[in-house]
Amino acid sequence: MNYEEIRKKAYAAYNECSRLQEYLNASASLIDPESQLAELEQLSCDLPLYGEPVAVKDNVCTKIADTTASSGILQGFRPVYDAHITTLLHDAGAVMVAKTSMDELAMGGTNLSAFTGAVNNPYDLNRVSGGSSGGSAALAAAGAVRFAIGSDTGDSVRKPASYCGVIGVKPTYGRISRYGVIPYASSLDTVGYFTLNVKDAAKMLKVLAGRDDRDMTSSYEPVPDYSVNLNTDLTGKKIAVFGNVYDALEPGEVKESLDRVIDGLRKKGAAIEFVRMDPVLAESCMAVYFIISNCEASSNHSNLDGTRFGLQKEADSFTQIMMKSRTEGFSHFVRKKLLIGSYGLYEDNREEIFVKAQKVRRLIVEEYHRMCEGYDALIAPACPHGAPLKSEAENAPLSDRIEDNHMILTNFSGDPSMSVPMGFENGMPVGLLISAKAFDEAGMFRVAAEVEEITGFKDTVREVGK
Amino acid sequence: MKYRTTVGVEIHCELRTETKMFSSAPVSFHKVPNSMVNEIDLALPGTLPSVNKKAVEYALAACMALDMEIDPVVRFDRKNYYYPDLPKGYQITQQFHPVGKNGHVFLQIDGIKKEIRIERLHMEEDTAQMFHKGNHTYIDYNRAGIPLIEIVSAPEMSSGNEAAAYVEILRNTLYYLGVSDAKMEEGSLRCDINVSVRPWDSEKLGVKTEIKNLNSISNIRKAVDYEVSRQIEILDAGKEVEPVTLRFEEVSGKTVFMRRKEESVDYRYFPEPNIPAIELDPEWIGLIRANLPELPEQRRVRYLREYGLSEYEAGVLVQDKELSDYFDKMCAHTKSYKTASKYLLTGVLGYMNAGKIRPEDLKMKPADFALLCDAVTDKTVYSSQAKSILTEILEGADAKNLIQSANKGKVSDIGELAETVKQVIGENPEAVKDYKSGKDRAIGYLTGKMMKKTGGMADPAVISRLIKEEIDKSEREW
Amino acid sequence: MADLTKEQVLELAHRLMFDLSGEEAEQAVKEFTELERYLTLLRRIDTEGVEPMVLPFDRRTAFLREDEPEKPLTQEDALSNVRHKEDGYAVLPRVVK
Repeated sequence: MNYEEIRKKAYAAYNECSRLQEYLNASASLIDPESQLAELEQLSCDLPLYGEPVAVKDNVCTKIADTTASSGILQGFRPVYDAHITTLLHDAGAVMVAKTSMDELAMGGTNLSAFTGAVNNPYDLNRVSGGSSGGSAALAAAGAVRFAIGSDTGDSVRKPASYCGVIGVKPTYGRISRYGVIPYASSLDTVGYFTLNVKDAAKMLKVLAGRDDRDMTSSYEPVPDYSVNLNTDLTGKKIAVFGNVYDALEPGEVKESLDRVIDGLRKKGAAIEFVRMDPVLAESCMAVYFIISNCEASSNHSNLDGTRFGLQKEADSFTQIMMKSRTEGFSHFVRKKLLIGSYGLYEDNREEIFVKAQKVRRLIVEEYHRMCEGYDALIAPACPHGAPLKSEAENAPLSDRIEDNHMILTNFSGDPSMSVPMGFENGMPVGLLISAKAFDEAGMFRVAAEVEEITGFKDTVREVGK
Repeated sequence: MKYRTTVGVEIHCELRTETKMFSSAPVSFHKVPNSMVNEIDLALPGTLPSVNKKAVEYALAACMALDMEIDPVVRFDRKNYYYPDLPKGYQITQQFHPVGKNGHVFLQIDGIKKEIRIERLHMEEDTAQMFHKGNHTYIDYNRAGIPLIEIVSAPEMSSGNEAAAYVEILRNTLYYLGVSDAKMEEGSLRCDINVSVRPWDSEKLGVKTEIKNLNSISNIRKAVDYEVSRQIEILDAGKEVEPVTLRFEEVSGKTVFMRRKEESVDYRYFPEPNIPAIELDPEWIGLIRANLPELPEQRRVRYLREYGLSEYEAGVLVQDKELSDYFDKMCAHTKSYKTASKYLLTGVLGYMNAGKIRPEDLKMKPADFALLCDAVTDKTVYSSQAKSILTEILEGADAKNLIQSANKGKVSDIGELAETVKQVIGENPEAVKDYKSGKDRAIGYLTGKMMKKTGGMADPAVISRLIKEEIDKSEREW
Repeated sequence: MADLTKEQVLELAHRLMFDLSGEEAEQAVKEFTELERYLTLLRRIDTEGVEPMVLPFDRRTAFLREDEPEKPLTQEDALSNVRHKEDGYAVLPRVVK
C-alpha cells in the first residue's frame, strides 16, 4: 500500500468511527489521524501495523488524546506521557483513530456505566456490548477497525468479544506491560485486544508483548513469532472441556455450537476429555473477585483527588475539593464498590476479608491447575448466552454460578485465555473460550485457528446503519 | 529522683541517590519547582513504581552498619491516607517486612557504654514540599518520591543527652556510609522523638508524647529535657499527661502543642501489588558488605589502638569525617600520629575555625603536613620553628624547603649559646632572683627571652638546661 | 460483621473522601449485605496454613532499576493538567497545619 492509500484507509476508519457513534456510542473521543499520518511518512512501510487504524480503550494513556477511563473524575485529563503500548503501537506504524468507551474505570461487565453512556451491540442496538472494553469490541465487530485495544481484569475483553462476535485475547499476566494503563485491580489487570481473525491476533501479540522495566510485573519470557505454524493439525493434542460449565448449559444453540466445535476438534486429531473442578471453589470465584478487585481498586484510585488533573472542583480546603470532586466525579456505582473495597482493608477486617480472599484465590488457582494438568488447552463457552438487553442487564445481580464467572479463573491464575466466535443464539453472537498454560499463547492460537476453520467465522463483521 | 524517663527515636533519612525511589526522575535540590518530576512522581493515572537499585543498596549498607538482620526478599506495602503532599493517596513503604530488623548501636556517654537497640529499618518515599503563604498552599513535587529510610529505635534512652548521642551516632554513621548527606538543618535527616515519664517504681510506661521534626542535635537535647520537666510537673500536680504531638519552639526552648494524636489512624496497609517480591542476589549483598567503608566507631578504635591517640583526640577527629579523612591522609605519610593529631587539633583546627575553612578545602597538602610532623618528631626542627612553618604551609608554601632552611639556621653550637645565656641572665636579674627563690617558671620566661634572641633557631630544651646550669654555677661561685 | 448502619457507611465514605446521598447510602448498606453473603461463601473453605496469593504465579523478580536519571517533565508539562498554579507551583487553599 502506498502512502495515499494508507491515508485514505486511516480517514475511512476515522470517519466510520464517527458515523457509528450515532448507532453504537462506542467512542469516548475520536482522534484525527493527521498528525500520526505525518509521522508515518517517516517510517518504514515494512512495519507490522503500518498504516493500520486501531481503536484504543480510554484507560490507555495517550498524549494525543484525552484519557478518561469513561469516568467523570477524569474528564479533560490529557496525559503528558504515553502508555507503553501506545508507544509500541506507534512504533509498529499503527494509527489511532478512536479512544473507546468502557465501563467507568473498567469496573463492570456491561459497558452501561460509561460517562458517555451505554455502548450498543452492533448485532442489536438494544443489547449491551458487554464490558468493560465494550467500545473497542463494538468498533471491531462493526468493521470500523480490525484491531482494538482493551483490558481484562475479570473478563473485560473476552465477554464483550463473545457478545459482539469478535476475537478477544487476554494474554498471560505480565506478557504485555501495564505501564500507562489506568488500573482497576493491579494483581488481575491484563492488557488485551480484539481482532477479526486469529492470524491478526497472533500478529498483534507480537507487537505488544515483551518486557518493560517500567512494569515490574512484566515478564522476561521470550516473545515468539506467534504467526508461524498456526494451522497445523491437532494430532496428539489434548484438549479439556470445562465440565462444570458444560454441565450447566441448557439445551439450545449455545450447546449445539459447542458440540459442533468439540466434534470438529476431534476430527482434527485432538483428544477431547471433560474435566471438572471442586464446585465449592468454583462457586467462590465471584466472592474472591468481588473482594480482591474492589480492595485493590479502593487504593488504586486514591490519586484521583481533584487537585491535579481531570475534574477539579472549587472549594476552600483540600478536603472539600477532594470530597466534591470525588462525589461528583465517581458514579454512585463506583463509589459503592470503592467503599466496600476500602472496608476489606481496614486493620480489623483485613485478615477476615482481603487476606481470606487472597488465600482462597490460591486454593482456586491450585484446583484450576490440577484440573488442567496434562491438557494443552481448556475450552468452554465464554458466556452461557448471547448479549442481554440493556434493560435486563441494568439490574441483574451478580451471579455466583461458575458458568457466568469462569473467565475470572485465568485472571486469578494469570494464564492466557481468549474468546473466538463460535455461533449465535437468537441472532446474537456467542464465543468459545480457549485457555492455555502460562506463556503458551502460541498453543492457544493454534487451537483458535482450528476453531476458526471449523466455525468459518473469520473476518465476520456486522454492518451497522447501512 | 522520683521519675524515670523513656525516650524512643524515629529517624527519616533521605538517601543520596541520583534518581527517585520509584521513578527515574532526577533527585536534585534547590531547583526550580516542579522541574524534577515525571509522571510517576505526580501519580498521574496509569503510572507504576520501579524500585531504585541504589536506594536498596544504601538501605542494605545502613542495615549492615547498624548490625541488623537483613530480609533477603524485599517487599513493599501501601500505606493509604490523603494529604495534599501525597499525590498517590498512598505511600509505598515496608510495613510488613522491613528490610532490616533487630540492630543496635552503642552510646558512649562520660565513658559509659550503653547499648540502644534498633527495632527496624525500612525503605519508603518522601512527600512533596508545601509552602504556605497567605490563603494558599504552594506545592512543589520535586521532593516527592525521594528515597527515604526510616530507622526506629527501641524506647531505650533515658534522657535528652542519650537521645542526642543516639541521633549523633546514627547521623555520623549514615554520613560515613555515604548513603545520605544526613543534614538535619536541611531536612535530609529528620527526627521525631517519643517521650514518656513514669514513677520510678512503676512497671508500666507512662503516656507518651511525640515531638516532631527536630532539626539539630542540640535541639533534641533541649526539647527532650524540657518535655521531661513538663511531664514531671504535670505528674507532680497529680494530673495526667495527654498523648499529643508537639513541636519544639527554638526561641522559647519549649515544646508546644501541635495536634491531638488522632485515635490511631487506620492506614489500610496491604502488599503493593505492582512490585513483586524482590529476591536479592546473595553475592550482591556480600559485595556491599565487603565494600562497606570504615565506620566512625571502627575508626575511633583504630585511632586509640593503632595510633595511640587519646579518647578526646579520637572523639574530636571522628566527629568530623572530613577532618579525620584528612588526618588519615597525613597518616599515610607519617608515623608521628600523636604529633599529627596534636598539630591538627590545635593550630590547624584553630586556623580552620577562624577562616571557616573545611578540611577538604585546606591548601596545605596532607603529605606536607606529615613532613613537618616528622621533622618535629626527629627534632630536625624545633617546635618553636614548627609553628611558623605551619603558618606558611597552611597558606600553601612548600614544606620541604622551609624545613630544610630551618634546619640549616638552627643554633646548635653550645659555645655560641653559652654566650647568649650569660647575656640574658645579666639582663634579667629579677627572673634569676625568682628562680633562686624556687619559682621554676622563671626558667620558662628566660627561655622565651633566649628564643627571641636566637630567632627561634635553638632547641628550647637545650636552652633551659643551659640556663639552669649557668645560674646554678654562678650561685656556687658566690 | 458486615452489617453496617447507614451512619457507619457514610463515615466510611467520608474516610474515602466522598459523600453519599441518603438513597445512595441505603444502597451501599445493601452492598454490605452482599459482601456478608460472599464472606459466608468463603468461610466454608478451610484456608488454614494457606499463603495469601498476592500476584499470579507468585511472581518474584530479581530486577532493580539502575540509578540513572532520565529527563524529567518540563515544568509546563508537569503542571499542564493542574487548574490552579502560580510561579511553577500547584496551588491549593491554605492547608491548615
